[in-house]
Amino acid sequence: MSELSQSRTAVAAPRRSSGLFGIDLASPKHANKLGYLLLAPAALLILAILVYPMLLAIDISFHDVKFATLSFGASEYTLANYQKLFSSPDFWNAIRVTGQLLLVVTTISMAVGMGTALLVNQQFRGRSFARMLIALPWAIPEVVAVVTWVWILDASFGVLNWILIKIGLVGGPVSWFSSPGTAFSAVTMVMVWKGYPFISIMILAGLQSIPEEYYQAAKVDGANVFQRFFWVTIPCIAPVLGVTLILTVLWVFRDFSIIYVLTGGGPVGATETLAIMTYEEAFNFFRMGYASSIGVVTLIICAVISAFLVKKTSHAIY
Amino acid sequence: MAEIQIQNLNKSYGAFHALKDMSLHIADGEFVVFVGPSGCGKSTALKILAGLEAASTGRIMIGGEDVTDLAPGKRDIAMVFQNYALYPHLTVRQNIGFGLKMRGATKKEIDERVERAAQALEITDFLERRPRALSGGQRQRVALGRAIVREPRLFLMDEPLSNLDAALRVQMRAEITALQRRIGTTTIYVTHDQTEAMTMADRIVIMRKGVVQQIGSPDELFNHPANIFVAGFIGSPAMNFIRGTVIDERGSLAVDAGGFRLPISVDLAAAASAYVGKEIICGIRPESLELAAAGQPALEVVPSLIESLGNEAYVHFRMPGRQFAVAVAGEHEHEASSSGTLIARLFDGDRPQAGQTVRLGLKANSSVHLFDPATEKAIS
Repeated sequence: MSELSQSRTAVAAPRRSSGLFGIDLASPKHANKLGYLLLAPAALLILAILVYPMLLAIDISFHDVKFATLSFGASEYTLANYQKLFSSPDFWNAIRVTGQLLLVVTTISMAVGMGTALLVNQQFRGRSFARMLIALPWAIPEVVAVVTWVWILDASFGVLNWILIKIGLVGGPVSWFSSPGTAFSAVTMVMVWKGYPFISIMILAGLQSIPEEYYQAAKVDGANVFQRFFWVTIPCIAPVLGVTLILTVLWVFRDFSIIYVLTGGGPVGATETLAIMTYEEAFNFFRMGYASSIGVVTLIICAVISAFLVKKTSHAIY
Repeated sequence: MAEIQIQNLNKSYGAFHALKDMSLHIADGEFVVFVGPSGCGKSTALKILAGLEAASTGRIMIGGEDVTDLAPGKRDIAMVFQNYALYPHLTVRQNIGFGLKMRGATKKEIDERVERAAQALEITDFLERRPRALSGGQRQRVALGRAIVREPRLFLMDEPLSNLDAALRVQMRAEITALQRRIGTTTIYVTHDQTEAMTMADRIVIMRKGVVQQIGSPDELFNHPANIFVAGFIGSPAMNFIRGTVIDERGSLAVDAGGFRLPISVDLAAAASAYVGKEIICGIRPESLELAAAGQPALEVVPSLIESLGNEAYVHFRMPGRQFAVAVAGEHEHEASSSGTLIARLFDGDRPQAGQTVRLGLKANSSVHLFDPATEKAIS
């Protein structure tokens, strides 16, 4: 007994730290303060690099600014930029192209992502290798990948034309970037190629969270493979699908480098999205006020779409 | 409703033989429980019956029809899963009606049958709720509802009560038994809990390492276990096993277990006579022991622990060198209940103190089970 009490006293007493400015942040009473303290750097950073430029852009869009100047209140407030924008056929063309691209790229890449995710969710030899292969396009830097695609699609020495001619699908080389239809298709193809791995990875994670018993119960209940897909798989991954859809839509909306490197928005505006138009107005023509008004309109459209999708998908199940 | 015929069923996963040559005939309307420790093959057998796993060899007949190669949905069976497998995105009504809908039943028919099943299980009040808004017991009822609504030929239940707390388990146990008796559908129920097996089954199939050990009614398994494994698995607390030597005392046989003399009953005498002078393993149920009266032959032990349950007490003691470890009870074979100590179960009045020497004797009319130490089979 005496031995025990001796060893008890040998243990050092817990160290009492005086904490920050004499406040012990580990105590339950001050737990909130620690939370705010940890959040502060991130919050300040967001204010500096997101909120401030956004307010600046909104302000500029109501001024007639021709060059990159930080001219808060330098000239009079005007609605001229917006009046010009809504009456410009280029703007409505960009809206149409963005909408088309949004619809086509999102649909195809969701379908490809879902298909590949279902594929690599199966048990087979070399599954981890297949999963890596599917994720690969996502890992390649966007500009590097697109420059490579420019070579592949090149009219005179591109490998795609060579393959198409060899297997006899086309008579002569196709000039992918010179007609509106093929240019749009090329952009779509590269965007799907670049975009589906993310969708696939997200859906795969969703699929892996579905308990095997759900499928076993459905099989015993006599559900065939399509019924199991529509009644078990889809509802169970609906929350994942929703988030993925929002992120994909926003990605297509804001993606600039793929289109810019491939076609630069041409030919004759066939691939000129709102993002490309904003860039051109701002950095080719230096119409900062006008470009900002396009940016603000894009922001509003994105906000409306994501608000709608978040509302639609957040309480889909559970 | 149908009778089930299982013929020489085998299942191997590579070199691992999960199920060895299982044969069983189940009568129409019978409630059969597959019981055994984990890895004994009971769940594998159930999955093969459901069609969720293919048998390596063997045949399964349901109602005279060979279903061995039929898809699960074509076997006309229903299954209740351990974690209920209720779809979180469907209401209770849709969950119960799921199987009917998949089979193309009309909306009117689905509604009628779901309503009837819900009434039978007293869950009509939560038909429009989602599973997550239900308690464990209610979810269990919904899972049962999904099974009974289709009126299948066979119910398969895979440890359906193991996610419930102890009190609810006892209640649901009785409800499932009553439900099965009422609707009379042939049922195969898998559990690792011998109490569930004993209380629910018409017949128990007790399995170990893929091999059926014994098939029989609960009483048969309790009173006439075929081997040491069955004897140790059935009954709680588990049977005590003691090494002893068969001796012949002027014509009447007995077992000498280190000075403790256990008489061998007349019906075992013929079989036991072959073991005279040889070592044998005696099985004594904890409830067969009592405090010995003065002058009666007794075993003197010092209890290591006394557990009181109010109306009864478990006296734990050791017989060094004599006790025979049989680790069989519990879900896992290594969760031994009879490996550490021997137990005497004393009722009312008899309440010794820990640390005090206790004289234990065999109750009158209680039987001692005898087992061959080499084969572990019962001697009878």
